[in-house]
Amino acid sequence: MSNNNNSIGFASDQEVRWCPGCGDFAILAQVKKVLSELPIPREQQVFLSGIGCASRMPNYLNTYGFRGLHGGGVCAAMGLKIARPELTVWLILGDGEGFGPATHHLLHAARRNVDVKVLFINNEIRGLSRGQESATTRLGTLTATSPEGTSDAVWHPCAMAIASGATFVARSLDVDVDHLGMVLNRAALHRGFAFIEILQNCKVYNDLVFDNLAGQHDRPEHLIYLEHNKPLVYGVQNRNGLKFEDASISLAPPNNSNNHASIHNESSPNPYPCQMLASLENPDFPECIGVFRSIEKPTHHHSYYRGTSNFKLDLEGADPFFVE
Amino acid sequence: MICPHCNHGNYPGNDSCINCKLDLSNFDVPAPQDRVERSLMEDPVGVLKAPTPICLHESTTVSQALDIMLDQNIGALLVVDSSNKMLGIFSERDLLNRVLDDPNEYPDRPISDYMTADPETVRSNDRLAFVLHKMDNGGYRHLPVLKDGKPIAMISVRDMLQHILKLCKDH
Amino acid sequence: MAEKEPDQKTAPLASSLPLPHAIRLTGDAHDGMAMLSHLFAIAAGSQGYQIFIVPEYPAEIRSPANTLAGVYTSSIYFGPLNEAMEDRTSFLLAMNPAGLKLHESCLEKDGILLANSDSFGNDELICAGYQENPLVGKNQLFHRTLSVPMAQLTNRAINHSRVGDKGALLSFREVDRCKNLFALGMVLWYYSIPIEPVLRWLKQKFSINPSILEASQKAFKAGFTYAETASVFPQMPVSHFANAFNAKGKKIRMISGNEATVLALQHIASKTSRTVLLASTSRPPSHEISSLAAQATSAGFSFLLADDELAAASTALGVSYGGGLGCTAVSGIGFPHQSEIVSLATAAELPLLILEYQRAGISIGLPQRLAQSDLGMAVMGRNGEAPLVVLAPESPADCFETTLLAARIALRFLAPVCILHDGLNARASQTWQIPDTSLLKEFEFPHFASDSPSGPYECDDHLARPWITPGTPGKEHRLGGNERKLNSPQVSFLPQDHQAMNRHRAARMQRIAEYLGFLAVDVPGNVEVLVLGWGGTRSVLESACKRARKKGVKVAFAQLRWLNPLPKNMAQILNSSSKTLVAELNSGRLFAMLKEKFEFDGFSLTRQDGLNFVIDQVEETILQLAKGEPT
Repeated sequence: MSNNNNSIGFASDQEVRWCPGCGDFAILAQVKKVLSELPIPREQQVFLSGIGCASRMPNYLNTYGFRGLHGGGVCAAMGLKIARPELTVWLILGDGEGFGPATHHLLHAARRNVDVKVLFINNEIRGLSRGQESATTRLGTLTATSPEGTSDAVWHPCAMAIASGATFVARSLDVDVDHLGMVLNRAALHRGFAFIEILQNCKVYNDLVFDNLAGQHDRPEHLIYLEHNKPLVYGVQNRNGLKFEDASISLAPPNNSNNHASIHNESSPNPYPCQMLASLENPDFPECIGVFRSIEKPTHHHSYYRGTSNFKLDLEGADPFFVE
Repeated sequence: MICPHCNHGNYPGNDSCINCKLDLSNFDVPAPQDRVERSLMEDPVGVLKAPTPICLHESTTVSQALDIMLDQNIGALLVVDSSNKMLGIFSERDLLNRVLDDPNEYPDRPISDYMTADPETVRSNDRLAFVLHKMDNGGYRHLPVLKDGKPIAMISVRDMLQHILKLCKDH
Repeated sequence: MAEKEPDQKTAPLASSLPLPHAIRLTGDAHDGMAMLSHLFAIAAGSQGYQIFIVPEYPAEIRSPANTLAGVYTSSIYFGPLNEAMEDRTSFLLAMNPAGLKLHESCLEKDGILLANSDSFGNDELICAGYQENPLVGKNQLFHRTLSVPMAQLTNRAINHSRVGDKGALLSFREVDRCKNLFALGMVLWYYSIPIEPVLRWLKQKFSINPSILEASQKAFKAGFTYAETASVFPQMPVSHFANAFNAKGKKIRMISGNEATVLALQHIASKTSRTVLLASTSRPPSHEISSLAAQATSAGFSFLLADDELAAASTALGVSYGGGLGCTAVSGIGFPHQSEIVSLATAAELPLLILEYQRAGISIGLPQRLAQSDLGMAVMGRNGEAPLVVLAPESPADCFETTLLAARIALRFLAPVCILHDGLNARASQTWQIPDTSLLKEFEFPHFASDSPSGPYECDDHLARPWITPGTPGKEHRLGGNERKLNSPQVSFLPQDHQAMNRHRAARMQRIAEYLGFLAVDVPGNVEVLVLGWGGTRSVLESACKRARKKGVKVAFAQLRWLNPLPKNMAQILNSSSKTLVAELNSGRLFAMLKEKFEFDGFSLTRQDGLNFVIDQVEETILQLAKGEPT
């Protein structure tokens, strides 16, 4: 067992190659830090990835890694957990691959509660292939393949994950390192399908797209930090809040009493409030970061069907006979 | 499903039993719960021992036909051609719906003008439930039983009722 | 044209029929044809005969009774596989007119037709497209027709003794269902095969259900007795024309190729103590192996129904990455889907078994029809140069051996291996002597000592890398689909590295060819024509060769059990005869592959209509080639 548990020990011998200022550096640093704090030996950690900028991450981590699972990474994770249930399996997906070739595998894995931690690194652009739009690119964004701005609606990754039955769903920001570390740590300890959307700035192709959330000066006005069993409040002195009413969500009238807002419950059996929170968008609503949902369910590698077939009996079939 | 012959537990949808190779494809129908259902689902029409039908040639006049119906106390009769192939059915319904439309002419006209041509029929190995379903769907009280195009029996809803009552009584 | 067995018409039927002999049992799917042919095989197999059954499933699922689309047929062949096949049959059992309609052309003019006359009523005849009854009168098709009211006789046999008793023993339907056993009794008498194995089987299977057991036995015995007393035709003892194989006291079972494949996977799991997973989808016809595998799972062998073929292959690859053996069953358009995972397994050097069930047609084509359609896809169908080992079983029982061989290659070389199944080897079944699995060879793995300093890509003498799986302390490494440096996991896009890696992968295929060794071919000296085939067509092709040999042609047969890499002695095999006939159920893929690599005087025999070769035609082609006529 390797006990070299500090974050430097998790760096591989590979030179890290991302553009200067890329949010992936911060994410990599937090991943290494979280790994070094986990009570899991390094050789038990496996990072899978497909293609894209973020998918280089396994190369920079001195754990077991497998790259190039183009879309099928989450299925490979399922197979790996069947063969080796003791391993901790991570999957790095960008928004291009995650909502491209991997989409339906991702939804099925959530449904089956495959025990994999999915880092969905969302920069709302396909960076490695030089700036084409993805399914999360905001309406009207100019990209290499949409010279007049994109015209298609977007998907909200966390809302999709909740809708397909993921048992742990969270969102964090590349620049908010403490929060990111906390979310990664909780995901690592979660048993089942953990989906973490990390909003990451692409310096080259989609710079400042999260500036409303990541910018320091007015961040509190646009952002709710979700906490379990705490009211959904934000803004200066938590004057603003969100309220669930009937089947919708609305802005509560500002006041200071702290009881005007609804309480966030990440383990509620009813997924719809979390799903609504995950779909909120600026500027009409604040956007949420933190853990949307965290529930316990049997994992796929525990619950998939294993029969009690006896090979010796099967070999003879239902009706062997002797030659007379 | 459980194989009805060897009791082997098969996966739903298996075409044949894994253990004894019995064809299972026609078993995924509802299982009978009691002897009435069992009889309806499994017994063929033959068990009703329905009477041979009264068949009249197509040229028979309506008045003759009505006499026979009154005489024999029956609600429907069959119309056949000279080779005994069935052409249609003439029932009380036809009398009410068609014959009474032209009260002056009908007595001497051939019955084939008023019969219901090509009625629904069944075969002697059809199941009772199939027959009952046909009667219910079409609202018929009588169904001819054919063999090679020729009528061999006529089932009335009364035959069916008696059969079911007998099953209940025997119980 | 081939001469039509001139001695057939004059020879007395009772004693000297030619050696290959085929029986066809046909009827509605609801007539219990599967049970009938299975029991016939057990009865004949118990006498020591090798039996080969090729089933023909209804064209439509759950089709209406007595329609052409609902016909189930079993063709039963006697004797060793390589000489058992026969285009036509001299005995046809038709349980209904639709079955007769589909198979009347296969019955010899002098053949015997045994028919269940109870189902030849007007309506059934019309359903099958007959204007008049083909069993009797001026429209009688075969002069040796035995028309038996099987349903009535069965009913009488079962219920006769109970007259006056408290009603019938069983319901009308249950009685009717026993008529297949009545027919079986008749067929067994005709071939003078003892009935005891069938009686034992009935007792064992239906002991839980005494009334069914009693009825089955009565119907079966009644059929046998009826044939004895009422039959106008002489018996045709099997012993006259089929060689019993020397298996006295041996334990035998009937096995289909799909069953054999699943058993092989179970064996691999128990022998290697590694996780073996079969991941597949519901796509026909590979769905058949899926349901068999799902019923055979245990702690070591798992089955997973994946959401599509890419997911199936990816999941299997995940298992292999974890140190197990990932397998995937696929057919039709699912195969190209998996191409990228095969390519990734080749790049990352991980084992993977692809069980490809070939079906006819492009796109979704004809899912239930026979073809050897995917050889090109299997050998060539990847981006870049990603070689794939391709094997093809020759018979149902050979699926067991071939699957084990595929696993041996995959585990020894850490390479993906594809097995090409077809309708003849996967779906057909044959008698199989149950092997003693403890005598089977152990599986080998690439050498890896956990204390050695070797990295994950340092190759051994077989050019296989050590299989270091996640969880091994101190050996953390990254695999991937990117090109890399030889003997190192280091990603590299340098031209010389790419060149070296391409050479390395090609060299590894050479090592696999070495591992597979020479293909044993029985080529006597001075051969005029060599027939070369692969896959499930072996029985037909070799039967044709035997017939041609009897006519004086010096012909040899070779079965390619592995198609990529080709056997080491391929050149010698091709040069062992003056002419080579390459026969396959596609447009001539193997022929093209061979022509590209070897100089030989070859001809291609192809068939692309979804059916198997006809022995007469193959024989005719051989005769023409031998005479030097153009084909």
